[in-house]
Amino acid sequence: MGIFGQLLLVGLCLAHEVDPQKAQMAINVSGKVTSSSDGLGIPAVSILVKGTSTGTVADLDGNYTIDLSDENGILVFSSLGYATQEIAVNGRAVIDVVMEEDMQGLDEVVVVGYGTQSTRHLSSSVSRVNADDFADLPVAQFAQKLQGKVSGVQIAQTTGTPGGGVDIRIRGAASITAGNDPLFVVDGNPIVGGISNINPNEIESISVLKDASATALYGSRAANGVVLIETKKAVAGETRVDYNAYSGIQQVPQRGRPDMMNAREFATWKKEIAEFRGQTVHPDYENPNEYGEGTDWYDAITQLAPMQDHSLSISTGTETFSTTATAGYLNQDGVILGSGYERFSLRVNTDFRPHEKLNIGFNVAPTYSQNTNTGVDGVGSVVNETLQTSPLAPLRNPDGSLTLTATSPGMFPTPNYARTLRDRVVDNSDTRILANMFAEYQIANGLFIKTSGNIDKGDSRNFTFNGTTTGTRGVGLYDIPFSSLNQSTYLSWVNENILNYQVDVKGHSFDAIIGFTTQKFQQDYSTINASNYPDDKVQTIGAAGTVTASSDVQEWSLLSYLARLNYNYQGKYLLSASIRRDGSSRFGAENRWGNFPSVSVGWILSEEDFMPEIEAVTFLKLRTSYGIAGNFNIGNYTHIPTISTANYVFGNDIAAGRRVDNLADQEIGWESNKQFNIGVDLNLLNDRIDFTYNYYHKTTSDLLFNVRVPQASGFSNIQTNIGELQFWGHEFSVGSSNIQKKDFTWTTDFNISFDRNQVMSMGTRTSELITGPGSGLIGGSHITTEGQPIGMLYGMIHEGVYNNQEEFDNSPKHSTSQVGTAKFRDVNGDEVITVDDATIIGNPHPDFIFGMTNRIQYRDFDFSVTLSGTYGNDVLRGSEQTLTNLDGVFNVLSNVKDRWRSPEEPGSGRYGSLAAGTTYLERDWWGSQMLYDASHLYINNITLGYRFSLHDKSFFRNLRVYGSVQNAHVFTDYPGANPQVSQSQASTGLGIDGGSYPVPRTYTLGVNIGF
Amino acid sequence: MKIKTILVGIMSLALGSCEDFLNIPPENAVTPENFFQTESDFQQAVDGVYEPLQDLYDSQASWAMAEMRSDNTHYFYNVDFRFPPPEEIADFLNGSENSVSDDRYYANYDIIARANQVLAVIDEANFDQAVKDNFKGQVLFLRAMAYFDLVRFYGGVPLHLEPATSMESASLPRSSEEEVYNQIIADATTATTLLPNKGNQQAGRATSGAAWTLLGDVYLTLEQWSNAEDALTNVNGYSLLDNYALIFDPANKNHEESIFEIQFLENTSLGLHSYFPYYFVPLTDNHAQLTLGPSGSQSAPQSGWNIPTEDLLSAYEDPDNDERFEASIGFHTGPSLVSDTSYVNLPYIKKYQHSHSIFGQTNQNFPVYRYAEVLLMLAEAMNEQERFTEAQNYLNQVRNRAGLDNYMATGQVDLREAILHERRIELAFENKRWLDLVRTGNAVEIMNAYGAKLKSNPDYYYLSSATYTVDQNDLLFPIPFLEIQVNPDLEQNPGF
Repeated sequence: MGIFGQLLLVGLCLAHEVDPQKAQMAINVSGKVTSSSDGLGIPAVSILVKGTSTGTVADLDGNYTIDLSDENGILVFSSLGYATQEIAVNGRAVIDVVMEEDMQGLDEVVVVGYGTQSTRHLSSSVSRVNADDFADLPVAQFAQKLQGKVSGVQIAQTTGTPGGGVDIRIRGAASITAGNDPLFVVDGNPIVGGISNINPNEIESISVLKDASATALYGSRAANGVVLIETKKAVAGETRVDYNAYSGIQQVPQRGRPDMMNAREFATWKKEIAEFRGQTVHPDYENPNEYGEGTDWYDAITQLAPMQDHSLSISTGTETFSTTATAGYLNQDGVILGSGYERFSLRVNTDFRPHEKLNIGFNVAPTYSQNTNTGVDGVGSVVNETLQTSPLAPLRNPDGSLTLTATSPGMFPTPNYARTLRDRVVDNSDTRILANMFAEYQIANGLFIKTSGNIDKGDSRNFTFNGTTTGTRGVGLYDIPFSSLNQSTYLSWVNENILNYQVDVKGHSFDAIIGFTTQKFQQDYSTINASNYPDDKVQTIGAAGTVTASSDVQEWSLLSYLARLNYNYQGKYLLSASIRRDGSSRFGAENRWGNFPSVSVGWILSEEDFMPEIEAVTFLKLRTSYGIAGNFNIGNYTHIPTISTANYVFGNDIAAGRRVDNLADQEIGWESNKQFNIGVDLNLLNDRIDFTYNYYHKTTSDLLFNVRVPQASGFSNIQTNIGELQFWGHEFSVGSSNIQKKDFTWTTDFNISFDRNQVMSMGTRTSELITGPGSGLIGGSHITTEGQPIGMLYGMIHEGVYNNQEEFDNSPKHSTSQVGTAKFRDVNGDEVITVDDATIIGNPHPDFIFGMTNRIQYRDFDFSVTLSGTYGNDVLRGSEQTLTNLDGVFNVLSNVKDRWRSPEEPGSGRYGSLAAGTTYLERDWWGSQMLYDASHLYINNITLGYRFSLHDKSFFRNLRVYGSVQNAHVFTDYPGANPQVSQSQASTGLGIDGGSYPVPRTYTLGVNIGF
Repeated sequence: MKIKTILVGIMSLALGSCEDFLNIPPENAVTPENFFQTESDFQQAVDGVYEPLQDLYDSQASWAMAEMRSDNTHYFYNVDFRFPPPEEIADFLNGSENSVSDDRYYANYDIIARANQVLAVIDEANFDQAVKDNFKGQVLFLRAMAYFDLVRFYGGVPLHLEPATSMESASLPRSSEEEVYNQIIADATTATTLLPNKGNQQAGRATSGAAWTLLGDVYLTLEQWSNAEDALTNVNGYSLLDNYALIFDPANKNHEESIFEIQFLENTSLGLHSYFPYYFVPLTDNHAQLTLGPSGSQSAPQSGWNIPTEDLLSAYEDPDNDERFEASIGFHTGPSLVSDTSYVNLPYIKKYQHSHSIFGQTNQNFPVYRYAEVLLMLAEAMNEQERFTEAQNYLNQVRNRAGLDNYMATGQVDLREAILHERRIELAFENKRWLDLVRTGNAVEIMNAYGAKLKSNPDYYYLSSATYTVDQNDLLFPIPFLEIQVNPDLEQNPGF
């Protein structure tokens, strides 16, 4: 049965169930809402009839009017920065309200799973970020905007690729093979596609659910935390038009640009190689001094790149109908030639209230994005390979055109990458529609039923054509053009049915939900590789001489029941309990269903009479929680052994063969994640300082783990439940109004988190797991082993070079070692150097992460600075495998000059001898010679804004201009461009720099205009 | 009331089909529940057992470990680009992390695992017994051949005879060489009884003749000469081709001399072509002149390997009349893509170079067993049993076809040497030489002498003193490091 059938049914039920209303005394109430501090009207206060979804919004002067069906109703007045008030109407037609300022917004309503809750009454760990906090940041993705703003959430911009490259990790989330991404939920829709094509301007607020009490309601997908995104909703009131735009320029910072040999240095190096190896020096290299700087290839493929973003939103509404529409356009050119990202987006959120007890919403958000980013990032990408190009080779021909190749004698054939980037045809596009529809009906006082249908649909198409003027290292130019076309389309639908009951009885306040949800996902992929094109002229697949195609279909489904009770007594004793039961198609019939319960309690001490009246303490809450969440990120069919094709030939006849292709564990089940949390919320000095502390402890057991098995079995791995991990950490956040005067305010938000993890047991036969993108010679770059953090950096310990014969004779060595070659530590003490000497060499996990935002407002000026950073994490700079390659086939870092030349000139010890046949250990055995401390402090953003003072009668409602610098500076000892780099996002592959796309610095000017 | 109605309505709709909703089998793969039932299923499963043969014989492991390890071939030293794994194998510097020697291990076990899957369930299936016997015979032959390859290159290896179903059953310890050989003999012997002969079998499949040849080879390796003779004299229905060059011509696949060859096919879009002839040509700007296919560019690690040595060239006793010289080896003069180098009469393997229509996709089969080798194995078995006339007779059939005169000398030692020499020439580049040297106990002596010669030649300046120091430990290759990493019960071969 499809979603439409279900929705139709629910709709019919509802239509049938709507009864004529009992007559009540209707009344029209109006009044003005003013601020206690200055007596002026407060604009846009939200006014809601308690226990219903009926409401209105005050105008700019604080005036409001609302129709009530019951003259004894209660009105709830709320506005950001003010304490919420509930006022009984008692038949009055005019109600003026004076609201108290509440800077810390403790009565703010925060979005939680399947509902909302006041922060005051929250007993779980939830962090909230409002759109205002990140509005000015000129970045394509909202996740980048959260950098440094949320405690316990590490957000790393691992690459500068336009429109991409953000890694989000909540509370150090890690799993060995089951992923570490949080679940993203947009307006209640657990989305399956990425978040990169969501226009940040559509977002109203973001809630990060961290502890199990907050996440367990998302059951089997909640182990890595949940991020709830609420988009901007219309409210009844005046028509508003807002236009926000910025335009800027992106630049590759000077810091971190690799310092490669220039032409003169390179020719000297090539000459010395030949001399050292007793070969004839090529005439091109005989007189290095005839060369100057030569071509700076990094410069040749980077550029200043413009970026612009426009967002127009219109919002209007009456009591029965409100709508808001946001249209966005982003265009971000890449700082690497040829790359870029463009996004067109639209979101229309509409609410209908045909009846005061019925609320129907339609939200739809199509986006279309395109990029040209193929092959510009990561290992083997142009960024890394361009650096290896000969500085002797000219960028341009004498006539000014770009050359085709860029090779010097004795080097790998290499194309001119500037030309390749220009001529390669890349056409990647994504179309995405997020839509949801809901109907909420008030069945009785405090009793609501809500049903919703949600759709996440996406289509992507990636096309790359490599013509004869493009190429790659090792091949030079492609003689024969080839192309690839990858297409995928997916549809995920979710149906949710929730019953909610809220009641207050003599100080006992209950808010309970029960519900059930279904979700189904289907994705079709196809890949077409086309080759043997006759020429570059026609690039469509049909023009290719040879075409191979493959396709795949992936599906999963999830069926869930959930229930939650939030209870408080007298607003000071808090309790929340929830349970979700999930059934998933990804598991075998025996282990298909999993239960995910949680409970949390809180106590607002500051409300107690026995608390001494301490002026300084205005609010104090203790809370603790415990719960279980799950992780179902495994393949869709892992529990089913599959049979795939294995074709052969007999004579000239093709034989369609088949084989069993995986070792399936039919008993595979949920990875479970038990989490304990204890926390304190404290407000001091009349709420001018607020402080939050959390300690958590998580145990992940029955890890979904793709264990390598001996290939003698015919299989390479088995996905199974094995082993246990523990995580624990401390999170602190402080908000402070340092100065709070009429014309001058200064606030500081600071957070710091200490996250730790440890592997308690592994259950593999050797109790260790070697993974990662590193050298295949020692099996990988990372080791996960009992008693250590997950995914430690793994390799050889480099101890310099064998400086002289005596040292060589007295040291353990490898069969290819010579005097002057790399010397590694004999870790196992067997007197020879082999791969068995590989060991833990570094830790990619930071000791702590932190972020700080300062905001200053002086008269009409505003100024803000955001910082973030990490301390104590290591990065293995794998790109040095080529950047310091001693074979002489690439250009290398200029400090390779400090290599071993003779016992008399041993150099820095980092680089060994050039002797033929001896260089590969240093090159291919990754080790401590490539390891660096990547602790850093980023100045993420600096913004200076000016808001024009406007007359009441002004054409504009709001007018502000600002300038900002994004990624202003980074303080670090890491020699590479980006200390946040990680080629892989897997927990068992962190901290490898394979040569990534540089993160640009962006200078922008922007405007906010409201009408 | 009303709420209940709604809820019950919704719930029952969902719950009624709840388990169905969660049962989602993969759409693009067959699952065992609906496979391994019919004759056609088993036909496909049997054909799937053959598939890894293509990986094995088209890989660098095939020639690097069996030919380039010996005195027959070397590599062309490319100063610009080092790809160490095959070089280390040639130079006796290889360690347990060598990716090339690992490939051979994995490919053989791929065959074994697929064979085990078939053998585990085929007896329960219900279809024609004669067809079933043929299937079982093919699978047993392939499993025996894979274990025979493993035991010779790695020694006693884990003996998997049942499909792995868990982490435990996937991680067996090593068995002794004797246990492995006993299994090989049992499987091959059963295969000889189950398989039809070549006339009654689709071309390219295992036959009773192939199984007898394999069994003969196994007994020869174990020096059980009369058993070898018995097995090999059962190889009937084959004859030598008149022209040596035609043995390798793709137009002639599975000809009357061919007993078992690895099958490849060009132009299928399923990747069923071979590539190996490309490895054997030097790196030039014009590959087409040597590969006889269309032009295209080649990257460094893909060419310049398995170059015939001076030692081998001088081993041809009469290059002018021995048609195998002209057919097997070509010489190339011309510019090189390797810096500071041009080729002057550089030898390369020519016998596998034939025309094909797509760059890098050849139609070339690889010969595993052919009748000429059966004759040479018979000659050896006879000589060791001191039946010299018969031995000479078999040897001379092979010599005469190549255009050489009869071998006249007598004496077991001389004849033994002559047969080994004839194998070197007749089966050159068919990946026999290294195993012959090991099997006959000559490897350590011959390879040390050969290495010393190379190292004294300034053309081989790149060979360090550590190269070609060959001892008994070098007769086996190491168990892959990655296997030992996940299975602590596996013991490494000595010296690694």
